[in-house]
Amino acid sequence: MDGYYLYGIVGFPPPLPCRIRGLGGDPVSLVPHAGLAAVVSRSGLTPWPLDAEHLTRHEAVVEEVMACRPVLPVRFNSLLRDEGTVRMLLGERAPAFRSALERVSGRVEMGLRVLWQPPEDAEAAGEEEIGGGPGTGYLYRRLGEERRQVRLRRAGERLIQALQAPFRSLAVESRLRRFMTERLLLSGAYLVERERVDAFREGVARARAGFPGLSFLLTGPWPPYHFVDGAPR
Amino acid sequence: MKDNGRPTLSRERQVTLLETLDRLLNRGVVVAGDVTLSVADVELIYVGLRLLISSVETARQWGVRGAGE
Repeated sequence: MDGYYLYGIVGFPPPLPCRIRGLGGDPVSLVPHAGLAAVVSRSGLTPWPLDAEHLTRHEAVVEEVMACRPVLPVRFNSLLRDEGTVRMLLGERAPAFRSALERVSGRVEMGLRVLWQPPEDAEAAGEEEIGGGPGTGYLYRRLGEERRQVRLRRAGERLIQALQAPFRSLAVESRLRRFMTERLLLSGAYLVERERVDAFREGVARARAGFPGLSFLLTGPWPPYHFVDGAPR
Repeated sequence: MKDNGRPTLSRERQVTLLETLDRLLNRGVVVAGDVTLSVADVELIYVGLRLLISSVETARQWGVRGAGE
């Protein structure tokens, strides 16, 4: 138990009304330095198993801290060997941590995934049936597939633009991943003012009504996992 | 929720867990240096993300009520 497990980074001086125990059941405490504090519990240096229990415990600690103060969530299994190393981390990156804390202050992350049914490809039919040997046929099929992907993305992108419009005013910032799979049109993380979470939910409800062909998965509020770096965008 | 020692999660809990996995392993502050992921962990991350995507892809089956609502 000579090391430290990190859950998050907060400003100092903090009250830490965290009753949840950390990984392995050890109490959660703070290591202060440079006007900041690391939320930690004592831990060995062997990585913790990556399973539901440990992920949930880490998340629960961060969420409890988030309920009362801005926090930068730290990645799972971040282990530091001693208190000096924790202080060094805080000291070296203090300006970035401070500006990130400022950025997420009073805000939460909302997650939105949007599924679509990729449209039938009307243009594709015209591209079939080109003469030549099997090699030519293969190349044309590859070319056809690439063109289909381009058309699909163009159509998807138009849909994303239309979908996104209302969220620009509902969120302070967003991180979007497109086409993680053919059906997963959009994976978005939105940084939302705490008092606008309900408005954001209503925005999603309106999008659901406006785009009945799409499926929406709304999650959150989350700690601001996607917004922990100092510089916006 | 345990049944015969094996945890059972509702689909919504499962989606929440996978969303947590995606964030805890791919986002958040990176503390360079002392963190090492074993090959098994990396595989788990991969499997987890695949699961997440397929969970979301089957989300249609449970209609408009997403997790967290």
